[in-house]
Amino acid sequence: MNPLRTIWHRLRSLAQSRAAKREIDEELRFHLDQRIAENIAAGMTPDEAARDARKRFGNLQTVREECRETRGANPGETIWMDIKFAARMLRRRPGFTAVAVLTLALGIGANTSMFSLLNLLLFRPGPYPHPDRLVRIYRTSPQAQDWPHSAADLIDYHEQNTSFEKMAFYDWDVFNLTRPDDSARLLLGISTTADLFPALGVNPLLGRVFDTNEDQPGNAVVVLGYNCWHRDFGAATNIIGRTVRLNGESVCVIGVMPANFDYPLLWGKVDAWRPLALTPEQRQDRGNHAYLALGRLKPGISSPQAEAEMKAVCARLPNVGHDSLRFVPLVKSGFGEVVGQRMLYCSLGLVGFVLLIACANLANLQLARAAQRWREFAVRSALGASRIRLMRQLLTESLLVSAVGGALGLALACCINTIISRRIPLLMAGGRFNLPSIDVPLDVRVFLFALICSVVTGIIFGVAPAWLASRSDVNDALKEDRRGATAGGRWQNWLRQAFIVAEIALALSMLAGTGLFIGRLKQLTGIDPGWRVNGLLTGAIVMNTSVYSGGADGQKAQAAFRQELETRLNALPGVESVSFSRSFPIWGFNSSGNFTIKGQPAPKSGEAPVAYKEPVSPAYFQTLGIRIQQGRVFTPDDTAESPRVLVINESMARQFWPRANPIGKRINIGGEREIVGVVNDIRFPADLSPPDSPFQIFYPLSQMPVDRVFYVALRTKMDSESLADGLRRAVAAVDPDQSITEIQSAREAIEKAITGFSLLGTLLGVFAALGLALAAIGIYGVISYSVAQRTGEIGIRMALGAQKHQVLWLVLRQGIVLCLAGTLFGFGGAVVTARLLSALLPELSTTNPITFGTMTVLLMAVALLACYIPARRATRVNPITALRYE
Amino acid sequence: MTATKAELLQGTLDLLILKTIAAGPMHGFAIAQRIQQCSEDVLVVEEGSLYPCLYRMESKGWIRAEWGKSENNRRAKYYELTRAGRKQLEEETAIWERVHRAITLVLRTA
Repeated sequence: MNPLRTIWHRLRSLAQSRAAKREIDEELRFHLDQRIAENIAAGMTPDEAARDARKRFGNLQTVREECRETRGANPGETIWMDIKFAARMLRRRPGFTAVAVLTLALGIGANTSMFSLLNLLLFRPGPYPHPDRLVRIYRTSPQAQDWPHSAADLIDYHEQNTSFEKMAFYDWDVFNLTRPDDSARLLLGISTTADLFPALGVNPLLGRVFDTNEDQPGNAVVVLGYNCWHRDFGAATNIIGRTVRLNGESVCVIGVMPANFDYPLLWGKVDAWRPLALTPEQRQDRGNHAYLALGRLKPGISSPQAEAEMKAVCARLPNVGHDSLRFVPLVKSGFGEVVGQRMLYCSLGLVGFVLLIACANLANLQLARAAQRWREFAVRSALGASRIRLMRQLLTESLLVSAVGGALGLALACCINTIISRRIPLLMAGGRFNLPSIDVPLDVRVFLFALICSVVTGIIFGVAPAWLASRSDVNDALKEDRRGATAGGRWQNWLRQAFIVAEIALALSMLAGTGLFIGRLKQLTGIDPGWRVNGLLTGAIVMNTSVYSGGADGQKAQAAFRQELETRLNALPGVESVSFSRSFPIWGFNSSGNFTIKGQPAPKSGEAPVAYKEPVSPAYFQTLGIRIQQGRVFTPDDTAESPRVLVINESMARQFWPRANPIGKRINIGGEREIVGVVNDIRFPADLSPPDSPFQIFYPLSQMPVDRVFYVALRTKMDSESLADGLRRAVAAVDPDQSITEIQSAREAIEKAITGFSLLGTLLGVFAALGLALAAIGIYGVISYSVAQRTGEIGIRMALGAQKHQVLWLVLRQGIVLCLAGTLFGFGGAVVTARLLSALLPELSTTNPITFGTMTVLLMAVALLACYIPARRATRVNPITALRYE
Repeated sequence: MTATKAELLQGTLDLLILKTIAAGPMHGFAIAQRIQQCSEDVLVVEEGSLYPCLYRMESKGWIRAEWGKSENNRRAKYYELTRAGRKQLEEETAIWERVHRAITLVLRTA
């Protein structure tokens, strides 16, 4: 006998069950007709013939049934029956079903939503062909793992390596687009070498991309992003060849990129792509680390191979700063913010607890239900249902609940994602500019996740009750009239209490974890950043290159622009002081470089310390409220012609001149400069990770001009909102072609920048509250059940003279024991959670005993309240009723 | 006890069917007719019981079925032996002959 054939038959009959029935009928009918025909031929009347045929055939109905049964001892059909039966049972108890489905929907929804976020940010491959061959190249230093590069280094790598098919470098950029109505719109763009497009392997949607010949200073081409093309040009197909005004220059649109080129992990939605167009000076510059690099490996070359080769290249090049390089496959590099990435994992872990608690709760509900259906099961097994059959029935019910819950959860995840998606950009891309929102799609992987979640939860919370129910002793159960206090009963009670202990433990671990997370977040954002956040208005100014280009004239023009703007702003009522700087200290300073100290032994190659480099105007320290600790800060006398000077921060002074006065010492950082002052350290409130370098060096803006973008800051006496207009008007008054963007108070900027973190904090808080509520419901359910079970006992006790408080204590005691046991385990869980959290997020590492304590008290309070309600009900038991009830 | 008896009877019917269709593809009605004719009307099968038997043997893979046209041009299901069926037929025939001989021996000597 061939088992495969049997299976095949069954499968086939499952698929064709109805057709099979028809076939059987047809075959039997043929037989009867044939017999009748024979009979008639033999001379019978039609009536006689039919009667004889039926007699010879036997019972037609029985034969038909037997055939069907043989045809399909059909598991498919019984499963379908199970499902129908389960649906009927669930419909009959809408309360239970609603609670169960909603609990699961919340659990699965929260988990699916977190997973889809993770999926988007960490697992989705880029929309590029052969994404496995794409790598990003970072420079590492003792302080950080993902520094950008200097142009000169990159050019050397590009020329000397043999591993890459294409290698490109690029930098974030912004462009002022002058629209037909003469208003300027700020486009978020990228300036890149021409190889970027072939490296990624994406062709333009319209027109063409620029080539290496066009990647020169003075070029006049732009490739638009899909989003910008739609938004600003109405998706006009005749856009190619049109001239637009970017940064006050006339530039020709040569191409439009397709929508899928906007890869959220690399750059989100980019409005415009322009050639990087390095000047000959920039090509020589090894000091300014500003460029990001990525490349496409040649087929068959692995990322480690390429990395090894590139290191060899570095070693050969005499001029390259001997930093080490790090290659990261594009698919893994996406979410650059390590902290954010870990936070996501943490959140997914914590959200998993909600699902576990939901499972424990549902298992308890199922147990209670199984107890109520004790007799039903006993009767069914007396009638010959096997244990497996009963277990299968109960499991089918659980799975049905979890499937419906999963579907609802998916819908819920959809809603949560819409809310989250608006805030993700703030988690990414350094938050320097406001990126448009990014959709969090629900793709196949997310669907699979939700499916697996529901199936696994269905099995988890269904197996134990099913197993217990199937153990019921038929004789006992049938004799027992309603209480179900059978051998299985003790097991059941034990299991139910174990679930409660587990729930409390999980809820406590979760509360403690979340509490620590939020507490630490509050603490971090509450730290004094070293500058006065309140009463500060900021804005970003992007200079139009046409007038304010990099050359000496352009810089003069820039200086004049700032000078005039400063005068006008100082004249505004309510403004105390005005300053300019290259960046604004929310995320970090935009530039950094290696330095050596004159008179101190040169560090080993590759270990030269790195410092942030920040050019600022003289009033910067006063405006931001930074304290001067030694020496002086810059004055208007520090001009482009005067001696080169620097101000350093406290950490740097302490590190390199622990016992000496740093004033007057000299540092080599792309030219020798003298230290004239020491100021306190500045922290970046939105960056919760330790800064890339603790060292900060300030330059006079006059001696180190910025390229294009700089920030203006106003220290104000009055409400800064009302000054925003004044600021905008002042810029327009100095140069009408010039736009200012991101006008906001420093407080607003910080809040916006940490939205991602606070959003996660809020989410976790909500999840923890959800877990707590579920645990409370679980405890309430179990204690209520036990009160109902002990009504008779309580009645007797009261009839024999037990006081109300004694009864109350009797019930509460049970709850308290459970709570204490749960808390005990929960402490263990909380310690583990805290450990995991601090391992994942060293920035948020803390074991704050106060948080632990608070959360324990909170949990105990809620749990005891949940016990108290049924306990009070127990005290109201009327002994007479209770005894009669018995 | 009843089970053994049923099995024996069932087994016998199996053997008869297998032997009958060994001659060539045949539909259920023809099988019943043929058994009756060949046994000189001694073995009258309750015709309905033939079909569950056929289905069981089909699911065991001894015979296979195919829809075809009957003599009077109606759709009918034809059964034929598979290789496994042929082997089964040989085995069952051998068993039957052994049992038959044994019973005959007992009847003669007793």
